[in-house]
Amino acid sequence: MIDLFEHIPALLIAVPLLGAFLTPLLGKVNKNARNIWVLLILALTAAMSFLLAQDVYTNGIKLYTFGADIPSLTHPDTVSIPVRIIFEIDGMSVFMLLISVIIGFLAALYSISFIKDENGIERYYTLLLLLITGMIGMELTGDLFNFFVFIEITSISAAALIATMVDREQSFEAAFKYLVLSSIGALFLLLAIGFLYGQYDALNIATIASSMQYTFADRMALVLIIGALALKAGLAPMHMWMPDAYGEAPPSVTIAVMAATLASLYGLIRMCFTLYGSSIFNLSVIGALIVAMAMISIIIGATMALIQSNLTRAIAYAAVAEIGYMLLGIGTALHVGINEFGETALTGGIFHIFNDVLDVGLLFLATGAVIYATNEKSLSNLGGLARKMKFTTIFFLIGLLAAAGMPPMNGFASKIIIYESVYRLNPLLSIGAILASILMLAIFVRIFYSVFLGPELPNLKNVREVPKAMLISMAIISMLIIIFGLFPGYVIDNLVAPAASALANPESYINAVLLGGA
Amino acid sequence: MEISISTGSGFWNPIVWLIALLIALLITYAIRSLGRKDYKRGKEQIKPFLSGNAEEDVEKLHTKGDNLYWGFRQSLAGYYKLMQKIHSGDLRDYVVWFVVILVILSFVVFGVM
Repeated sequence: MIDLFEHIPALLIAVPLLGAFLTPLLGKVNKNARNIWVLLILALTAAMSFLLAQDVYTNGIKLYTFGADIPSLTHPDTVSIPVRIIFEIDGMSVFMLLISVIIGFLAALYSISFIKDENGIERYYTLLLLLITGMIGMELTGDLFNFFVFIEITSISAAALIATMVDREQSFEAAFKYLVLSSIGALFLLLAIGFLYGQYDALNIATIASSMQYTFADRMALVLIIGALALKAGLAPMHMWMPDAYGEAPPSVTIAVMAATLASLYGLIRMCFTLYGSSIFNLSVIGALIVAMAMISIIIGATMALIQSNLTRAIAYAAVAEIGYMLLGIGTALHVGINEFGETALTGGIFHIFNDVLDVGLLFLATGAVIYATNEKSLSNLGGLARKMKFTTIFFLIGLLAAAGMPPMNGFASKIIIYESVYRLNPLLSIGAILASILMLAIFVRIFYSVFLGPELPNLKNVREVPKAMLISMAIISMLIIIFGLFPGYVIDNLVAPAASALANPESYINAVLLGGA
Repeated sequence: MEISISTGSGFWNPIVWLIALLIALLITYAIRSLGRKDYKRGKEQIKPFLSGNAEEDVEKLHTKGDNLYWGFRQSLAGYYKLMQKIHSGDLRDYVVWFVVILVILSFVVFGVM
């Protein structure tokens, strides 16, 4: 009898993929059945992810070799290197996997009400499931070409999702820009993979990492990989697609695309710390460059958010700044190495990945609720909504405080770790980051005041609170924000520390594959 | 369940912070309770006094989002002019920035590392 537990890594791709292709068929039968089907598929995917996470946290790195009689057997003893596609799941992969499945489920739950009146809902859910499949694949795979394939799946499905509102030409323009830039990034990534394959005759990350020789091809591949994945992750000055895409996509899509962006950020981190993590390379200068780009992201994101009159674009620029905070911590760790404060900076940066998707994600969902109820995005046409949308107001306030890094929310917990560790690299970096965070608070207060406070406006007299499915999605994220904020030690010990440890010890990742043969 | 976290040079404990907040709120409440007791809800005294002028329609009094932080934007007008020029919305400009970063990365990887 097949041990399904052993095949969870493969099922994590197969189940949402099957769900994606069967969704249009079910949609033809019954709309409610389709909605329940999508939620069931994503709940099953999330449940399998939690089981896999438990396994990795208990037993260490999990290997899954596709096509092998024994999935944990990376290569038979007659072959020196692995030739099959291997999924290699460590603490960092699991950390990102949990983000993707939780956000994917909440995006689908929110969508049930949010897009119920749109055309082509079957296609929407199919694309959403494909997007989640792509993210999961990017986070689990230990194979470079496989990573490229999954990044392409996420790019194409995300671009189509951004254009969901087919009656708005701005959505098409944003989707077109996203698709072009994603394709350029992916092609440069493919070129880098070609360089490495030509050099080492292998595509497995662990195998290539163990053979790195610091040749011209290795360095050329490093340039292309960092450039391509930084573009996909929206690091300034390559962030300009983010306000377009996040601002024009439906908020249920925006939160899923945010998770996909973070999957690209994961790729960047994985390549720097694992593929190029051996002692031959001194990535200190790359770390310094990432810190510089992170600071530019923070400053540009915060200052540009202040002048936006469009609600979603303002939050999209705040998302640019939040990417900067993550990479400020991670870049510092890359620059100084895994010493005392380097490890703390890495922990803060990784913790902020989860916090960002919860905090800014909640703001996007609350913004979506405002748009759903009022059909308005302009700050000048909104006001006084707290009288009619009490729950949305509370959720927005929670998201506001968390994203601005106010205690005792989760955003504060990760930001204070970043501030204090980065301070030891250079105090000016910390001061700049803190000032930008204060500016973010000012921006969110401006949005909160403009949208929710003030007298009831005549054009918004008939506004009602949004449907329950949307409220439940926002309530779950709010609950996670509060739990992460009140128990940061528990989250760090159980989720973040294993992820940071996985990045800090590339040898474990490499040896797991190379010594995984018979 | 572990609550405290180490920040490298200190620690952060949200429960301690919440207790401090609670104490601050209690002190605030105590000070507030020292205030006037003759406040009456629903009477003339709760209406705003605008130097004796009649109060305008409340809808007109609402400051719209676009008008907030006007001074901040004015004082940084030069910076924002540059930023808006950079954020042109033109896809070709986006690609140029990608090429610029690739050039800088090449310089760093081949020239410095």
